[in-house]
Amino acid sequence: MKIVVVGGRNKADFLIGSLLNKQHEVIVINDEEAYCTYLSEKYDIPVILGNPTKKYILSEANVEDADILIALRPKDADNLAICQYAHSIFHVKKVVATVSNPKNVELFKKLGVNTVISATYTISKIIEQASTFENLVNTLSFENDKISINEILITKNCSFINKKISDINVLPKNAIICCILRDVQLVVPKGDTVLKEHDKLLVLCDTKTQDEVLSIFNEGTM
Amino acid sequence: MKLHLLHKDKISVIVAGCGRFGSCLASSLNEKGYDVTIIDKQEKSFERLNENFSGFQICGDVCDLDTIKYAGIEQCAMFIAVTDDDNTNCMAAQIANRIFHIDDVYVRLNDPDKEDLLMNTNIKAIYPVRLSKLEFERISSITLGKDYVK
Repeated sequence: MKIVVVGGRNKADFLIGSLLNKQHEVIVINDEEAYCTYLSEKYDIPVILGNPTKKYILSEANVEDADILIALRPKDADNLAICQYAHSIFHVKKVVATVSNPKNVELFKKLGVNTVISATYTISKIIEQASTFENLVNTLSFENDKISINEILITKNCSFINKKISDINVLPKNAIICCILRDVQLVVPKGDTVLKEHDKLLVLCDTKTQDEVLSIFNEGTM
Repeated sequence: MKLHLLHKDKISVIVAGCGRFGSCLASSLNEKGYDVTIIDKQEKSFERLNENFSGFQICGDVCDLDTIKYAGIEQCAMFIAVTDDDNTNCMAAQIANRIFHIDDVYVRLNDPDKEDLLMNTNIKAIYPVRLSKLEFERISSITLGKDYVK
């Protein structure tokens, strides 16, 4: 895929390396001359020096037929302008923006930028969940935060231990245990699968019921 | 006569950016009887306002939802984005027009190419470069061709 990486410093460097590893075609636009020199010495890719919020710079960089554009500038207004140009003028298939202000995630979506990432927003959610739910190992969200997969550890005081999945009837309707990790083995859960201590469950649910699901496993009461 | 002139209450206007142009507009509109709120990221910028200015001054980011809500965007009839940054102006104007549905939105853009970002909106833009060019043509009597602005 042809991917344009706009702005950013360490984030851009790491991302470019990772994208090149996966054999993508990468184009870089950055307005810092020294950083452009560094990137073009390190990678064998086109590096365009210029202000990416300018239409003629985006046009010079041939973003026209790109599959993805990722805007990493520190200023949210810059990233909005870049993404709107890319989407409506240069017909880039997918535009991704990072934002500093977490409130701008929803705002950008309303203004037509569909994939918006806020480090502050994401990290604070992870910290909040990690500190409130002891047995939550990991969580991932999909479809603009509508669905989440949660990795939940079964600890020794959980009353679900030695219970069949079909007997656990307290889970909300929109939640399902989709996979069990037992030692190094993957177990596909069926109604008669019995849960054990140290099992890790992957639980799929909608984001609205996520807190309910997590507290059910946290308390472990049926 | 326009409806808003007949209206008893004052018309609320938000001016984003208190530079030379923003402060001039805010002071004049205030003098004309409009209810003006001006926002700028630097407190010091408000020194540019006319000493008789009786509107509200808010120090903050014009693109921050909480700041512009605090400035009363939900009740305002006109929004003018005139900070020194085109992208900030574009974003603030789009928030006013597309999120808060204000019909009367004005924006100043130093880069005329940025007009593409306002497609499909009724945001009204002011381009200082184009205006200066017209004025040059008028006072010099030289007719210039197409725009070469980058």
